[in-house]
Amino acid sequence: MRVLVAEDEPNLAARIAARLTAAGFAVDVVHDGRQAHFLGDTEGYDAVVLDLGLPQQDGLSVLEQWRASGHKVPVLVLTARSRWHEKLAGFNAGADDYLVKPFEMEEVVVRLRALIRRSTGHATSTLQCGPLRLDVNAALFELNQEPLELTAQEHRILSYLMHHQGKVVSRTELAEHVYDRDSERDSNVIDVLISRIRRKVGASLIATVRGRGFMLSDGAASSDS
Amino acid sequence: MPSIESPRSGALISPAAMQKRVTSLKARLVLAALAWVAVAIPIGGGGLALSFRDTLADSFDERLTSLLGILMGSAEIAPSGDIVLARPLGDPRFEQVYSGWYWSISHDQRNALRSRSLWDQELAAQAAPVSATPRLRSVQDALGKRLRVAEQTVDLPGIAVPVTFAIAGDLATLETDARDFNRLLWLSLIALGGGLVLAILAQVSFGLRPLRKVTANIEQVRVGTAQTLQTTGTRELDTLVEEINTLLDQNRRTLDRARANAADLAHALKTPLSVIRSAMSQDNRDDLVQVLAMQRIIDRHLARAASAGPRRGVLTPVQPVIAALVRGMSKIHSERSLTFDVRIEDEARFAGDAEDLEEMLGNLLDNACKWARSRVAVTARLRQHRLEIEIEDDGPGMSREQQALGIERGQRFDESTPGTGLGLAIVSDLAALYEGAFLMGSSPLGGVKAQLQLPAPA
Repeated sequence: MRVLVAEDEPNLAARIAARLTAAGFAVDVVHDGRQAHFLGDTEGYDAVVLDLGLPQQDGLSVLEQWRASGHKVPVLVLTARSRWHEKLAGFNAGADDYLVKPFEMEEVVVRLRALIRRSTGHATSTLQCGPLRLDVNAALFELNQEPLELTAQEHRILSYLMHHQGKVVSRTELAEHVYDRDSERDSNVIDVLISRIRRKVGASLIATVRGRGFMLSDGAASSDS
Repeated sequence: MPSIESPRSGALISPAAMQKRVTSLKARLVLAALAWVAVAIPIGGGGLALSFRDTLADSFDERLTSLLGILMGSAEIAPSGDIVLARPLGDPRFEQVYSGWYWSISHDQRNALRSRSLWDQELAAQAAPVSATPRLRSVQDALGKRLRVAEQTVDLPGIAVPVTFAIAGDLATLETDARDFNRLLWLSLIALGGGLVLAILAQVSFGLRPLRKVTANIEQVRVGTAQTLQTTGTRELDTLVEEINTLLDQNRRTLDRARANAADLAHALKTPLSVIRSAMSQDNRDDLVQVLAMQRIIDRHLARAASAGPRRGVLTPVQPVIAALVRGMSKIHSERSLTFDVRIEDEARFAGDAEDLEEMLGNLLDNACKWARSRVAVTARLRQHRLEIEIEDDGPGMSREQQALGIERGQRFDESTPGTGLGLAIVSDLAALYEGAFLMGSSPLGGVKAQLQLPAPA
């Protein structure tokens, strides 16, 4: 799962990024509205943390432009303005949730996980696929009721597949949502990671769709969505 | 502004008493004008009547004098030495008995000749010296008629003593003429007065039309259908209109600036506060409590600073505000799949600022959503010129003590549902600012009923 953090106060941005990375997200950080707009437009994010008081282009207009051009990425708005008038303005511009400063770092993680889960069409906070189960709030996998040990990268890949289960996910899509901007992306690494995950959860859960990518399903579902 | 000043000079009522009783400018102008019409018309009419009566009397005397001349011209001395009338006076009234019109010619205290109308009476001639002009006097004859007498004593050739010629006319003729004239005069004066009153009404109404326009305009601004006053094209009023417009504009800009300042201050304070809070370890409870207290103080005071408070001429329809809030709530509380039961009267409007209404209802709705199990009900209606909004939930409800705490001290009732107390404190502050009421009670749905009573358009 990959998120964009757009916050102009560098100290706060770094703290948010650190907390999100610790929670298993791939994180890109920008400090102004124009960069935020550009990255949000060109990269594939699972969610965006957007401060409204950004320099160069304010968060509200960034958000409006994304929504106008059809971007549906879930956006968590950060604002120092606690009046409902400003919160409503955020929602009208297309925000999915908001946090008023100052906030608990943990709150950002919880809200983002809920936003991503909802945006991929899951109503409950636990996702199930055969014997595999993901508690979204705690970000913990269980296989047959036993905790599943995964590395950070494996975790990201599996949770992306889990959120998009039943759909074919290409290697580039996976790479885009698993690595931040500064990491080197090598789609061979994806194959290596997938085979490691298969060893842990059983090969039958993740199917390779030739020439297109991978699909997580409990086997009973059809091979195409 | 001379055009709308009340002309008090002509008023019969003293200005102080008039101010007490007459509050309408139009009524004052009309009353003042009526007062001088009521004084001027009788004075003018009385003067005219008097001077006409004088003229009538003069012309009556002149007629008598000229008849006297004719009488003297017709008198001749007969060869017998008696005075005879060469030809009779034309007027038949001298032939009618006791008609009031008489003539007589006398000398040596005896009547030589007299008109037939005198019959058995005599015109009491006054002995007087010979004169070149006739004497005029008023007498009452034996029958009670008031007569006007013109007489002249002259020397006639052939008669040794001076001869007195007298002509009398009935003054009743004069009175009849005067009465006829007066009747006509007063009728025309009454018509003139009526015409003047109508003209005054028209003039006042025409003169005050720009003022009426401004008044209607001000009402539009008050109810919120207009932002500024339109100029009337009247020099005296337009200065005022421009002044009011400047004030309205200043008012708006001051508020916008205050809000922008409050928002900037919020941003400036809260971002560093976020950093401090995130740097603070969870086990350092004491420091965290201080930071939370700071945050609450900032929020509450900024909420007050940013609120517009009661202003004239601002009206906010309730329906769109609640619709926008419910949309927002559905996103914020999307986990909960809450049902919103919204019932708002079409004419429900808040006599105040939209952002302040959003702030109050936002906090209450958010609170209701946090506690509700599945339903939140919103009703808004007008009751006795007050806007009454109720927000209910089917959650666990609160005890009376909790309700009082929540409103008065901004404390949290439940640490697991953050920010509850602060929101209610802000609602309470704002409701007080608008001289409204904020009550918390129990809802038939099972949870809390928050009730707001706010000013509605008059």
